Amino acid sequence: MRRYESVWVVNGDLPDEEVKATIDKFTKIITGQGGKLVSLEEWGRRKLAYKIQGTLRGYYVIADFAGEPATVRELERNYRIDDRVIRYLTVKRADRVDLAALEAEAAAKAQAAPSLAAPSGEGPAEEAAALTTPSETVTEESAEPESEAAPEKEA
Amino acid sequence: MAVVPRRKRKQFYVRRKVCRFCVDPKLVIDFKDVTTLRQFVTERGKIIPRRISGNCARHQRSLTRAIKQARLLALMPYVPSPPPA
Repeated sequence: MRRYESVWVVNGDLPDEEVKATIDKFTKIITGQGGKLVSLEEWGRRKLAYKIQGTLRGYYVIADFAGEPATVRELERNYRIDDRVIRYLTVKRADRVDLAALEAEAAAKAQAAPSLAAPSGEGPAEEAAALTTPSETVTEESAEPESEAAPEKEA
Repeated sequence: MAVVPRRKRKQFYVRRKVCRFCVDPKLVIDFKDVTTLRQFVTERGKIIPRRISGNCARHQRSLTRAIKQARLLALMPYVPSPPPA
């Protein structure tokens, strides 16, 4: 099985139940095909860098899982069909997977999951989250506009 | 790149900067890490060239890929937002 990371963005203007519904739907697809979900990260509603389908808000969900290429195909097929999903991206993280280590990681993350901090900007990357004390923040709202940023170098 | 400084030219040699990612192996390039990614993009959202950022070829490539992925997911803009009229 390969390790994948799949992100999907739900239209932020939709009610929470709809959003939850998509989460259930897609995680079911993953597990239904024999995939193993390692972690599910919900970034919540965020301001989009540009308008998509007329809205500037999106609900981000990230699924870290192990599965077969066929699973990914099915997942993406469903992303395309579902009108609630406005963006998606699936990335391969590893070619082979050590199931035992994976299980351990999944358990560790599940424990740390209930660490919903107050809104504090963007959700940080969780690449090495399994190794360090998970500091994942789930943001409800991202206040800063995407066009302005910290001092940058101008060519 | 040529090291010969000439008159009336933008700084030709930019102090051999080291690749930030090569030096610190903990620093990973990920399309989700917008904070880090933003450092390599201009105010207008353009990707900063390697000769300015000092990144090595390999990391510049991953960086570019990550930025483009972030743009796709609307985590970063393709073009700057127009100022409020």
